[in-house]
Amino acid sequence: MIRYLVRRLLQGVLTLFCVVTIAFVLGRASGKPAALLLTEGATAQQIDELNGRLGFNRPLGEQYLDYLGGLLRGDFGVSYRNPSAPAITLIAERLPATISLALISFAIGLTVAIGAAILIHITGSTRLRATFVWGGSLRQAMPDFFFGVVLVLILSVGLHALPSLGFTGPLSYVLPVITIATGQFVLYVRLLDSALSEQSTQDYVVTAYARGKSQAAVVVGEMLPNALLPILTMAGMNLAGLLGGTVIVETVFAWPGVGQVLMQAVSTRDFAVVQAGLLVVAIMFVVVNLAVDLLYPVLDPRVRLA
Amino acid sequence: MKKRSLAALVSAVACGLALTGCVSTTSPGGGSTKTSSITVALPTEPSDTDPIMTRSIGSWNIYYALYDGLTRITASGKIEPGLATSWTHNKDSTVWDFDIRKDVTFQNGDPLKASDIVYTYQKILDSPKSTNRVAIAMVQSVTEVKPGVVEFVLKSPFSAWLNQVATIGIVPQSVYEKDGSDFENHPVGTGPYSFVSWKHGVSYQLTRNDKYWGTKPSIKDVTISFVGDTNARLTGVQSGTLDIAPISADQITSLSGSSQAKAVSEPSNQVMQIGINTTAGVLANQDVRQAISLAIDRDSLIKNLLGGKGVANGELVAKGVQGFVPDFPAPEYDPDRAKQLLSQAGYKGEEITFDFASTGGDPMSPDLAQAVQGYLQKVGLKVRLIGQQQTSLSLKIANHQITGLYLQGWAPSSMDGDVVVSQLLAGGPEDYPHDPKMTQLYTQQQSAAADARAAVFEQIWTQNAQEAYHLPLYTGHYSYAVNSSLTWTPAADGIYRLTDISSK
Repeated sequence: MIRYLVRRLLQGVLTLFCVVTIAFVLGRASGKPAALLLTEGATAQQIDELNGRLGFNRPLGEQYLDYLGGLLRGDFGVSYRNPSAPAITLIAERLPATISLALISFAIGLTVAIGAAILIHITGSTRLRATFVWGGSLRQAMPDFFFGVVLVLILSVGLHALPSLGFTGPLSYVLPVITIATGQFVLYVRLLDSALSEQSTQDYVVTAYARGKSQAAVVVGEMLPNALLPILTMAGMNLAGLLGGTVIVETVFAWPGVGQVLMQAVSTRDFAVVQAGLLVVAIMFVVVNLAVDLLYPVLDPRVRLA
Repeated sequence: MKKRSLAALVSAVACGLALTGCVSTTSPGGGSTKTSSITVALPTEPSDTDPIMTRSIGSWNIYYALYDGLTRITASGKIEPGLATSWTHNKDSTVWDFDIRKDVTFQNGDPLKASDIVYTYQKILDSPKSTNRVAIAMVQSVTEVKPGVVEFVLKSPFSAWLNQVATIGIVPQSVYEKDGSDFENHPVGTGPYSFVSWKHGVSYQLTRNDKYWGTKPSIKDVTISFVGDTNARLTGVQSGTLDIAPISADQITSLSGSSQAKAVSEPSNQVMQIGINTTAGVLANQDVRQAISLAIDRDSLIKNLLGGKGVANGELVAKGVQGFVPDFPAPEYDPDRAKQLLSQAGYKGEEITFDFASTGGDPMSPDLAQAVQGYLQKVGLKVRLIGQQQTSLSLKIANHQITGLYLQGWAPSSMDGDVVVSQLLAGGPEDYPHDPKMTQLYTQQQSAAADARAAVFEQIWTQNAQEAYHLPLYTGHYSYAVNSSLTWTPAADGIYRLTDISSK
């Protein structure tokens, strides 16, 4: 077990190294950014001078080693657009908005999906299944930005019931959470439904009924643990993706998350911020994936980590 | 096009689902009470708001509220006294004396001293990483020559100095020296609004400075919200979440019939133009460049793309900007003459590249690029469109890497044509022809007095039109969605003057 953990952690570090390297190379390949700061009437010489002062005229190898050295010391560099702002601070101050939105939406989406799937199988209602599956398909057919705009037009513009954008209080959460949670719900309810259907013909289920267990007890107590396994990996990936910031939803609702700050940093060539942001996103993926792998043997005794 | 029909579809769906939404829109903030707090939107958040270190269009929206310059640029582009009550300059505009206004206090209660002004300018000049430094690089010295008079000695003549000083916000020496790089987190100025808080990524909060020396603002509390998506800005105002937000020309019609919000627009300080690498292939031929200009029907572009909100332009600055020559003729539209010029030039279908911003720039830019390509193809020119993010295009332009044509708007925030000419025609990164006559005219306008200066600008625009170096297209409007209960005229430079906003 300890060997397994050590190996996984080393893999994780390697992944992170690749991410920072790729981010560094791609960023620098897009050119030196000082010209973007001096938008009005700067001469080529002034631009070159500023690039020099910001450290972008040094050999790339030197800049890269400097950067890696900084990372080892916990120094992620500073935003060249705002020299008093450490890049990691700019990312960190967006994490609460991103993490809270991700966790709330994910939890609601997953819980409601589990509840819905259980309900379908306890009642055995084909009408209920059709409602969820068809409704789900309809939602899935709409991209998030479209669905989000529809919500805004109905609930904010039409009914004036909720703020259409921003991050000002609990009400601000409602529309983005609905947007993401419904998207998540659709994915899980279909997977769970088919997984439960698959389980329902298994011998152990038939045996359970024969022992006189109720429908609800069989579905929840016997079938559900088995049906959850296939969606675990997918849920993990989705959660990591959400924790890394949801660019589209954040844009539609002007949500101050990691996705927005990354987008802005990319478009202003703010290398240090892009690198710090991608590193944080990569760490989310590594950690969540590891957590999922560690969770497997807990849920399924047949799985052993080696 | 795709986006617009999608928006229409969304509206239709929404109306269908929520009938109430399209019929009645009673404003939640409506009623007889005067609005005392508003939220205005900015498309991008300034990454730095230190007035010594950072010069950017986004941050000016905040600077104009928090700080005053020696002069101020009004919404219509006129120069008015600011922290200076009057000024004089010598004949060739190299020595400028400003009389500093008395009885002005900073928002923290400290009196404004002439030494604060000297300090602000000197600090910028002494900060190698300051992006303001380039704007005042011509300053040789700044001193308080006698009590209450600040004198600037410039290295070279600079007629536009009054516009330039308007963009430099004055900070209190005692506070800035103490806070240094942390100043932006609790800034102090003399402006009409004081700083309250800055929630990164979300908003910038201001409140009225009741000790302000000038006309006091009518709105007490202002929140500047950062909303990148243009559709979100529109629905933000429609829903009452925002009170004022910049929108694009094609969104204006969405607001007709709304009781919550109205569209307000003002002619901008921007000229949309086609830049040319005049050293590249067939574009080195003046006839080909003239043909390109003649092939484009500017009036149709204005009618169809901008909904009529714009004017065709023959010069590279817009009305309201210093250097604008009234009655300068707009370029002709004559496709037959264009074809004739092309055959005269021996054009044989060589491909011409055309760079434009497909995202992140002027929202009309992709549609405009396609329309221009269409006009050029009609006269037989072979044009390849290269779409890219605005930043990539800006870097290409700044690094002198254009291979053919490019589409780029120019909007001088100083409201003076000096920067436009230097950038486009007199040695800047967008000057490909390096015409010695232009350089000479450029230097001439820098020391010319007001009347003579206008004549020099007319020569510059005439020379540019004859040689077809840069092809001006049009000047559009800055458009905004505005809460119906507010009264406001936007500024020609697209930068908020919060003092101009009042509620009915």
